[in-house]
Order: sequence, then C-alpha cells, then structure tokens
Amino acid sequence: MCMSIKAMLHPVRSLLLACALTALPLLAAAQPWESLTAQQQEVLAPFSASWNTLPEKERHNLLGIAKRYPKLPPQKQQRVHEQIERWSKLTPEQRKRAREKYKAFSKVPADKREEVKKMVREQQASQAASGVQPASP
Amino acid sequence: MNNRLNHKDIGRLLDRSADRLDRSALDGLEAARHHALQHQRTSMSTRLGRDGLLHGHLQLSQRSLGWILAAVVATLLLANMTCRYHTSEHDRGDIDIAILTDEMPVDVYVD
Repeated sequence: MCMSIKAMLHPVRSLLLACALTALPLLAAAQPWESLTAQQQEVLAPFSASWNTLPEKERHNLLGIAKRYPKLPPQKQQRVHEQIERWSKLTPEQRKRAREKYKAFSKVPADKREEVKKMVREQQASQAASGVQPASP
Repeated sequence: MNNRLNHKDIGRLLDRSADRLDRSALDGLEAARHHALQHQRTSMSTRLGRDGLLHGHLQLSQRSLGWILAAVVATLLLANMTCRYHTSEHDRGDIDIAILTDEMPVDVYVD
C-alpha cells in the first residue's frame, strides 16, 4: 500500500519540481551594479547611482539595451550614448509612458510621422539658434 | 519408461492422500478455508462503497490524480506566466533600444 502511494506520488513530485524550475526565471535574484560586466557598466553608466534602487523590471530592460548595444552600427551606438543620459533621468513611470507613446507613434502613417519629425527638427534648430535648452518634463 | 507426472496424476495423488487424512486434520483444513473465505469477504466489503465501486486503491489513485492535475495546471500557468514575462521583457527591450536610437529626442515621448 505504502509503496503504491509512493509510486503514485513520484510523478507529482516530478511535476512540482518542474513547477519550481519553471518559476525560477520569475524569482531570479536582482543583479547588483557591481556584478555587471565592464561593457554593461559602460553602456548603462548614467544608471550607476540609481541602479540598486531600480525595480527589477527596469533593470531587465536596461540589461536588454546593454545586450543589444554591441550589435548596433556605430552611429546608433553614438545615439544611445546621447539619449541614455536623458533616459536615466526619467522615472520608471515616465519611461513606461514613453514606451506607450513610442508604440502609438509607430502606428501613425509614415508621411504623418515624417511631418512630426520635421516639426521637431525645426523646433530643435530654432532652440539651438536662440540658445534655449529643450524643456525638461 | 516415462516417470514424469502430469497434472492429472498429481491431482489423483493429492485426492488419494486427502482420503488418507484423519478427521481432525480435515476439520482443521476446512476451518482454515472458511476463515480465509471470511477474511476475503470482509476485505471486499470494506472496499465496496455504496456506489458499488471499488475503493481503497481507487480512492488513493483519485487523490493522487487530483494532485497530478493540480500540478499540471500549476505548471501550465507558470509556463504561461514565464513565457509572457519573457515576451513582454523582450518587447520592452526592443522598444527601449528603438527609442534610444531614434532620431527624435527622448523628450518627445515624455509627458
């Protein structure tokens, strides 16, 4: 009788183990700044001070950026360097909203998108000419 | 000459031997047989439920089956959650890099 229970519980134990293993990625421990590679630290340098206080999801996103960075062409890498400083100043909520806006903007027809980009470029040019810094949110 | 006994020969020999047993031995054997049959009946009645279904081993296996089903459901839910988590994480990573490499400044997407 005992043997039959054990025999029947064996697949249950295996499945529970499978559950635990499946859940492992969700329970992965947070990576402290010191444990990042030199390349990751270089890309994410603006986050060095705030890294250990960032939510886990944000850290994953940023590590995703650092992971994709080496595969980018040099111009795009330069652009990341220019933009990531400003990105680091945003709150996680602002970054979330920015992603939503970006996704919404991506769905706008290409010609309309180009119009908006042209307007922004003109605005930036006029601000640069008058020596005005772009407004912070 | 073939000395090997077949099952019929063995049966006849056993019958002949049984005939030679004394009364007390036969009574003892009969009592043991009754006792064994009684034990079998009792054992069967405890396993038979009102529904006429066999319980005991069956009941245990149903409980185990419940655990197995629960574990399967839990595994599927966790697998689904993990898959969604990784997909959304991957999507966010793609969006983040797209924003950072975009010609539009980050501020354009900030309220």
